[in-house]
Amino acid sequence: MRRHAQLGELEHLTLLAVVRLGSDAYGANVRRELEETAGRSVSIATAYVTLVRLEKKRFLASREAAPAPVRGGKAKRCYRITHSGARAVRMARDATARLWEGFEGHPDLQ
Amino acid sequence: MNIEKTPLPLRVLALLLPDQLREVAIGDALEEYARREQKYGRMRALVWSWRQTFSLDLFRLRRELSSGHEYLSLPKRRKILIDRTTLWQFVRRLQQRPLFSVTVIAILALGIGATTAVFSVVNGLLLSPLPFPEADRLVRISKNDMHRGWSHYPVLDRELDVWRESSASFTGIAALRYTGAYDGTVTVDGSHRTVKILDVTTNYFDVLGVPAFLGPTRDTWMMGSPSSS
Repeated sequence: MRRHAQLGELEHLTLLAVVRLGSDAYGANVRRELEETAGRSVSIATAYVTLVRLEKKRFLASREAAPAPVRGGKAKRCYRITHSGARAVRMARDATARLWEGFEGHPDLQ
Repeated sequence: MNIEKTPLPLRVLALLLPDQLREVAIGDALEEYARREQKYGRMRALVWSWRQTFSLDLFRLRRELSSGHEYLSLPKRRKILIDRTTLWQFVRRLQQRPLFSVTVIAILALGIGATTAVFSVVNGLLLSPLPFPEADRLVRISKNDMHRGWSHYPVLDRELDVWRESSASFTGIAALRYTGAYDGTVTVDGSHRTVKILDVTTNYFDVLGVPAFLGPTRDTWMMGSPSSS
């Protein structure tokens, strides 16, 4: 696997959050999803560092969306996962699954 | 939310955000602020906003956006990024443990201050050369009585003559005597200054390699005076 195709933990979680949110995956929602579902409290800047990096790796694509009153009339940037991103997530999941294989009941992991 | 009512921390945040993401990130921040204000109250929402403003990742975000797509290539650049990352992790760890950071910085400051103070004293007393030419060749000779445990025992005139005649190691030997009996006050340009007055041999200034600051020197043991010391 090429080095840049590997995912960091936060990158992995962010990609999954984007997939879970579907068409509503923009910065604030992704950050909230990470906090409420994954238990990872990250700042807005941290969330965007990860989103920008994933976009550079071509794992995410983004587009500007219409502004909303609750956002003070500011535009949104909505993200969607790309084929490369989906492949990277699957590879990360498979690698984790292989490492877990046969270790579910291991005493060190209790 | 009305933009005029944007809380102060988020207005500061807007200044710190990179241009490319300012609008969307501030939109996100306003949305989250409104949600938190409704759920937890204004104070907690403000605390959350200030934490966003002081996030060190704002600088990482700028760097991420400015590095473009070179991120994926160029080994030399990657090496520099790793070095920066190490530094960055250090800064973030300090931020995550403020009490520890303050303690470490205070100890470092105290250590540096104490070291500087001790060095200043040592430098002034031991390391700085005396204000004479070839000061490293000056030595102080004193007469000690080992049996009685007395040091700096008075040297007689004839002993001084013997030292001068028998010694081949010294260019010159001068003597001085201080009793404190002649200390006095000198007035220069209307200002008074207390001075120590010494009895010295005639070659005293020759041995030191400096001229008298004021007045003549004599050919015999001379009494120090305001005009000659």
